[in-house]
Amino acid sequence: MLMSCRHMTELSSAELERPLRVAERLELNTHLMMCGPCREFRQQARRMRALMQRYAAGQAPGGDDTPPEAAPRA
Amino acid sequence: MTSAALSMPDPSGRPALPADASAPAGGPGVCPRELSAIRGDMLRFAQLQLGHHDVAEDLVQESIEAALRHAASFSGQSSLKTWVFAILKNRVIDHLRRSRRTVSLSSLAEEGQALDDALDDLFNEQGRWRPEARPAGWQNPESTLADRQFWAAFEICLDRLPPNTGRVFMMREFLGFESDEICSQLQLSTSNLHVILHRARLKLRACLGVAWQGAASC
Repeated sequence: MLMSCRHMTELSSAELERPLRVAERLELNTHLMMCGPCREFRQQARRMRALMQRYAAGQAPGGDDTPPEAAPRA
Repeated sequence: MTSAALSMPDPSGRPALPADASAPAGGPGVCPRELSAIRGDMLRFAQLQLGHHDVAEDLVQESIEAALRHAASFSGQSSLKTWVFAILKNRVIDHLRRSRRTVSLSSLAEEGQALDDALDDLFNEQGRWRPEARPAGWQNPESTLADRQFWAAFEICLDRLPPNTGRVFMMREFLGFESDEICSQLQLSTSNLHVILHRARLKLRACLGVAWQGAASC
């Protein structure tokens, strides 16, 4: 399991929900040092959260203009 | 989009809303016609989050009425859509807190199975990224935030999440529920919630890689 990227994405996601255990953190950090795609995944998962939070806090897409998708959908 | 628009009203992230029946109506900037143009988006969002058309319809209607009633407190600093969505968002949160069950556990399990199967497209038998599925870098966050294409893609990708999974993800990431509250509301175990969020993030990220960034090279 040590090198499984799938498992590492699990840890990167879990990290957003709870503190990782020491062994998990070590495992993740070791893997991330060697794996660019997993580093990207971790960063993008965090970025998605940050963007959603800013969006939710009142940062509408497209600023003060009406975004193109604002037309009513039946 | 200016940086001034980024300032958050309070630490909880919930925008200051007008107290009920206080502000005089008829302030500048709230145009009923503009509101009705936003209505479709509001309804879509509420329906995704509540899974129930009639309730969504009611909350959207109430939100629009509240917006009109409190038009005077709309400063015009944020866009009308942002402001009205904040009203709706808080009503959705209140509704979810009051109602027992908005997510079907059996559907969630089925969706989970299907999502797991789809993850085989991302990882090989050893759990390594398949070459075509490797996450590639995104543009810098500042331009991302202002990028309409990003939000348009985000919306498309959210829609592609299975509904119950999307609802749980949005409760956590958009509506800002704490994990514990989601678990007790939906009667999920913590590990179950983490599995759902992990699948949602994998799926959403993969979709964004395609829908927003194009077929990213790796």
